[in-house]
Amino acid sequence: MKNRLFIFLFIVLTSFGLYKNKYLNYPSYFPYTVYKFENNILDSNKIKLGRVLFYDPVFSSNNSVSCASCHSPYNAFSHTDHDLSHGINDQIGTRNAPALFNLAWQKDFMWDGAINHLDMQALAPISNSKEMNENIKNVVFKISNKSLYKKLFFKSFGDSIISGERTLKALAQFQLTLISCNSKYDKIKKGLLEFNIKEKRGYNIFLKQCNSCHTEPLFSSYKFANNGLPIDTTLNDYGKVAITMKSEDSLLFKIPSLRNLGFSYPFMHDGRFKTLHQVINHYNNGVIKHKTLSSELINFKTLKNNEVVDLITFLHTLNDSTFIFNKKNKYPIEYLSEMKD
Amino acid sequence: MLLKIKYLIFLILFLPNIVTSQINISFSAKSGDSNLLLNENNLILNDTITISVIKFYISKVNLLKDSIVTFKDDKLGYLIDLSQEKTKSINFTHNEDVEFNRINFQLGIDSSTHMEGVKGDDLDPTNGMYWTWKSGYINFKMEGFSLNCPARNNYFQFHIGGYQYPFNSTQEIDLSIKKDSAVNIVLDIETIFKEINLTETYEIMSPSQSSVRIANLIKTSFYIE
Repeated sequence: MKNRLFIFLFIVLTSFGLYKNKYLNYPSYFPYTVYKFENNILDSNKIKLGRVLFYDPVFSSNNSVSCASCHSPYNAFSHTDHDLSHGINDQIGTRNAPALFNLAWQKDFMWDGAINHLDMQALAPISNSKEMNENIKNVVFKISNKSLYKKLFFKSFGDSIISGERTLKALAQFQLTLISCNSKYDKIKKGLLEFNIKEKRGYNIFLKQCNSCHTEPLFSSYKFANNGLPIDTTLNDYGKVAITMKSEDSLLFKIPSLRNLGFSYPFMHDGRFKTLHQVINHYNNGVIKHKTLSSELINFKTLKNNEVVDLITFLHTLNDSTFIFNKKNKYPIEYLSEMKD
Repeated sequence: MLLKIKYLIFLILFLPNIVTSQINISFSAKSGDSNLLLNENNLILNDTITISVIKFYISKVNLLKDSIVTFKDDKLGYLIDLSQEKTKSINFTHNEDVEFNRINFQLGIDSSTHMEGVKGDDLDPTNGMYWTWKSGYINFKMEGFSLNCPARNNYFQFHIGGYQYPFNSTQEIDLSIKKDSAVNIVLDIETIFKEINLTETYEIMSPSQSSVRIANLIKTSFYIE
């Protein structure tokens, strides 16, 4: 009976997004999570398993590329130094690998929203011929032969059966724990610090000009928008329309978070901008008035040079080095020898 | 503790009265009157066609007496693979007194299941029935060869799926059955090939107008022998 009450309460709490778990620490000013934890209850063993999987190149057909190859912890789990990310056999893809954090608050994945659930996201890079060029069935086959995984799956699920479902759920669990909520901005929100004058001016500009799409405290609404970038004719990437086939989705891309920009350059879906100055210059005088241009950008007030500096100063308060250097998210060095078996 | 005793008393009192019975639903494919043989030449509407794959999901199986649902199966989905004998038939256990004269089920996985993240068993993505570049189950897969098909190696591939408007391909199928007899549900692929010209239509692997058209054809291809 107690058990039933517990399950009932659990379902009620999770359905209101009030589920709190010791592995899911976030501040009270964060909104409700989107991820439905009742289908994948966080557990320290599963998180650990997910972490080992995340760093294991077994996901690629020639065992050379891991998730972390394009989602490096030092870059807020994105890929720097390349406009377009590269995968297996040095092949170059068509997009800039996005940073990974605060995924429990996101409903759609990929720059074009092709994937509808975090659990399913990993299937896309695994199968893409330029990324990992593998399939989940073979990944499961490969890891089923490794004693390390037999051990870790047993600890996580009570038996050592390795399935696609369990593999993807464990990967999702690790990624759900990648929470960035300890930047200077967060410390200010918690009343521990204060903005300096420049940051404060920048914050006010942000609230007027940026917040409707890059909504605080996550710094994205995680919706899709056309931000007026000229079309790169070497790629002809029209974003979401390729998925939905609806003309109103032409040139719409997922709005990225402004957290950790200091670690995750270059910017935009195709990594065309290396600096924040270039990004703001684009909004100031580079926006192309396509039919589907986001309405917020139609009347974008041009920023003066000093305002640009203030805004960038503010954006730097969103860099979260506690997250970047969190040991719990790093390469599981303790399993290194066993991973190579 | 008290509750458990109550359960026990309940069971002892009523158990003998609850008699269950089984209904077996099996799936097979035909082309017109002849049985379809996988990986062999079949003469289908004057074309020699080799079918190498027929796989599909069924879900939400209900037994009905006229319009009243008398038995509801709650499994998320069954993957029927005509090359795998053990997947071709399903047993449902129901109470002896359940009356029915109809069966209905969905061909494919419904949209709410699509939104719940990864699932196991028949719905596990290792079954190759889940798209990777864009979320969605492949509700129905048919692949094969015909010399009339201009694709590479004359190989045609129909991967029919899509869970969102306007390209939702999930179909509801409703058939009359008799109680106390095995139910063999036949997929007549001639019905599909009557409407598809393999010289023009031979690769459908994403939700689109054409996949919805084929999904509608598949719906009309099922009957009970």
